[in-house]
Amino acid sequence: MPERADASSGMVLLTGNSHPELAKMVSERLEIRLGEATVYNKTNRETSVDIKQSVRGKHVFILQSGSKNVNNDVMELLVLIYACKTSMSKTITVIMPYLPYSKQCRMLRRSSIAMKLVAEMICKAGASRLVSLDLYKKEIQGFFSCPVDNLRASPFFLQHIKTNIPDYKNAIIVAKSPGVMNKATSYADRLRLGVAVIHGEQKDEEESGLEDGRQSPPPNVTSYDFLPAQESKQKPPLTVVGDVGGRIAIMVDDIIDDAQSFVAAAEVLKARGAYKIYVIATHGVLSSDAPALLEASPITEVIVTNTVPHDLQKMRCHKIKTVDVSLMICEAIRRIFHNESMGQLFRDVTLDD
Amino acid sequence: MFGGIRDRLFRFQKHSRSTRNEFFGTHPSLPEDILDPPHAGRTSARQTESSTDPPVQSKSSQPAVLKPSKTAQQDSSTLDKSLDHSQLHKEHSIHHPTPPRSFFSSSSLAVHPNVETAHSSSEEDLRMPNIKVFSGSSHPDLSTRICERLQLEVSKASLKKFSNKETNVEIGESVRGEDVYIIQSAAGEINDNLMELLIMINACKIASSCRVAAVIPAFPYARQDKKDKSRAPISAKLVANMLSVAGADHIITMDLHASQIQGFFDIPVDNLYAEPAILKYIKESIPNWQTSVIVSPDAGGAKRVTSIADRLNVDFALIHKERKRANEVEKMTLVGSVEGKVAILVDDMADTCGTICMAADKLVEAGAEKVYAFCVHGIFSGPALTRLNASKFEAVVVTNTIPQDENMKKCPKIQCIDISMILAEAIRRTHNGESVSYLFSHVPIC
Repeated sequence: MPERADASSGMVLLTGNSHPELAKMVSERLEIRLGEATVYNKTNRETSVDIKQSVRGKHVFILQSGSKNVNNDVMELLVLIYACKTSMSKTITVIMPYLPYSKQCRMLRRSSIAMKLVAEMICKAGASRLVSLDLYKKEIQGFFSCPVDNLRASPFFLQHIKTNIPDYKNAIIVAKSPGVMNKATSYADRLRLGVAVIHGEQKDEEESGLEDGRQSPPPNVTSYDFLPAQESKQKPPLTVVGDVGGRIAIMVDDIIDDAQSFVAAAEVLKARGAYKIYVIATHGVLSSDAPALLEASPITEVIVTNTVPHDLQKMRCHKIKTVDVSLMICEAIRRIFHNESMGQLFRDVTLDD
Repeated sequence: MFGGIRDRLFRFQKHSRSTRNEFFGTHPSLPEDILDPPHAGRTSARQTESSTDPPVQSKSSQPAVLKPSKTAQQDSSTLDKSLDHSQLHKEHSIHHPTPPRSFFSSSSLAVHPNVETAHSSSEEDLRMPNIKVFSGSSHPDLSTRICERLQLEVSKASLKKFSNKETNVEIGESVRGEDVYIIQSAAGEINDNLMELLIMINACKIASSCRVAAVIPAFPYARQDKKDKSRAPISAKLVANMLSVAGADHIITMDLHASQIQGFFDIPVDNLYAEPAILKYIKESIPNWQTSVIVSPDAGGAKRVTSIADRLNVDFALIHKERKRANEVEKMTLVGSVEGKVAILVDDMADTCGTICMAADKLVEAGAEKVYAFCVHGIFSGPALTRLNASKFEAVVVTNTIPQDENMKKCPKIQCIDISMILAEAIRRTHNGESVSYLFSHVPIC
């Protein structure tokens, strides 16, 4: 590995403890060494950051992703950013491929918008820019008061589909729930395939909102005819809208965490006649016993990127395949550092993606 | 001016009573005995109704449709909960709405010790104290309706333009210590209306109002809420910043294009839903709704459509548009089946209506018997109205978040659902500090 000293390049790449392998791959591609900084938890569990080299006047790039220890990752990131800011670095760019708390991006009854809080904290700590991959909802860009770049993993996945799935022309893109329809359509557009939607899955309790006894007045106002209470959603059992018989089904989603919903969808697709079922998800969080569930399900393969570390899960389930996106992250860092346009990275991306 | 002093004197008098009591009175024009059922011999017509009579009405049994006379009757009849239910549906006489009451007090008509004194005092006593509702120039009709439901009058403000086209706002009443609500929608000249809203908020703020809330039924620039191309601005975030800087403390909107826009603000945002009103309309006005199919004209609306389909317990379908390529016509494929059924297209905005008209053609081609369209915000710009007139829709139903009178004249297929009661109820609950979550699943009065 060429040992170009950081002092001449003006770029410093730092990382926390969330994903050391990705940081190593990115630094190899960029041909610079990782900055010398130790990030660790002290004995009282407080995060401590020690940057051992000078960052004065440098462009600092902090690579941190969400992982199992979400809160530790967020805290490490904030302390790293602040340490660089108070050490007079010129700009601080945060590269966060998987943004934690991104699912809590809207108000559900009386919850808080945790993503907004995290965004404000990151900007307040001193970040001048954020780069992420496949944000859960694109509107999250507006939560930050600094510029946000939302890179896409879809070019990698499309490449993977074309090379690794032999008869992909006989496939159909399936949206696991109606909320992912946009993403499914964008893939279907670029591959010239049809779409199908699965509906009726068991949703989280937060969505329904009628069990909350804090609603005023008490929900039993059905005694008054002229003020009918809202009918509760009567979710049908899982149904597929669209034709999947005799085809390969490719389910597209952004995060695969608790595999239960994917497994249930796969069962339905199998029952409807799909002979192979692939799952493509950008962030493979795969928590609790997702690997075991996937191993026992009719899913043929699960394709994720290496934004979230999942080596342990790979050992337990052989269906999980990884696509490497460090190339895109490295290219983004290079272009930001040299103040070049990032338009090339979004060349093949459609409006829906 | 004297009215103002008397106003304050009476308010001071009532200071010791709880806020609830103020609502348990009768409108001064009604006879003394408040225990009379509302349909017994009251014919005090409301002058405001005759002026706002929309040109198109189909069935008289649609309480949600914009029909001023009907809404008046519905107001009082639904509010008096202790009445016999059979009487409600028989009488159609016009009478004044009784003052707003909270929904969960069924004993609202019990004789109240303060009723006698309430009678002798003037109208100001029966209104909510410390609240002023201003209207911007974008949608005065909606503001009038909201204020009628709140038993208030629209507060005076003069909105003019200087000769160099700069907006000139003068607040005509005192707002010191008051809860101010400014109603302005993104309609007509959007930038002018936005500037007017910002100036009004700032004027009220520096006039020492207690709290300024902006009621924006249709949020401006809501569609530019993400950076989907290189160098695209996030205008919704900019508008959010401008509203906060102008001094707004609270925002009330309806059916934001993406609910994440709530996160663009640092102040509380109430995003109300028109979905209960739409469901009510479907059940009451569309024959054979039980066998209908709810269709989404594009992939992004799939979530909205499945939510409505679940509540009505009907099927859904969606239309998938394949993008234009060189030498290829844009193709629309239907995912799902509408053969022999009534198709109901649901979308949140109807702007140029190109997509929904093509979707209607596709649905008729695929075998749908009738096609209806429901959109919350009916912008109808550009060639929208000519397209709709030539389209295969049975009816296009929108809400009055954006003024629809002109559009309804030009295109008879457009029907309008009145959502002023949802906004009025939200204002009342916010002002009294009650929960607004009830409105997310119920339609108040109507």
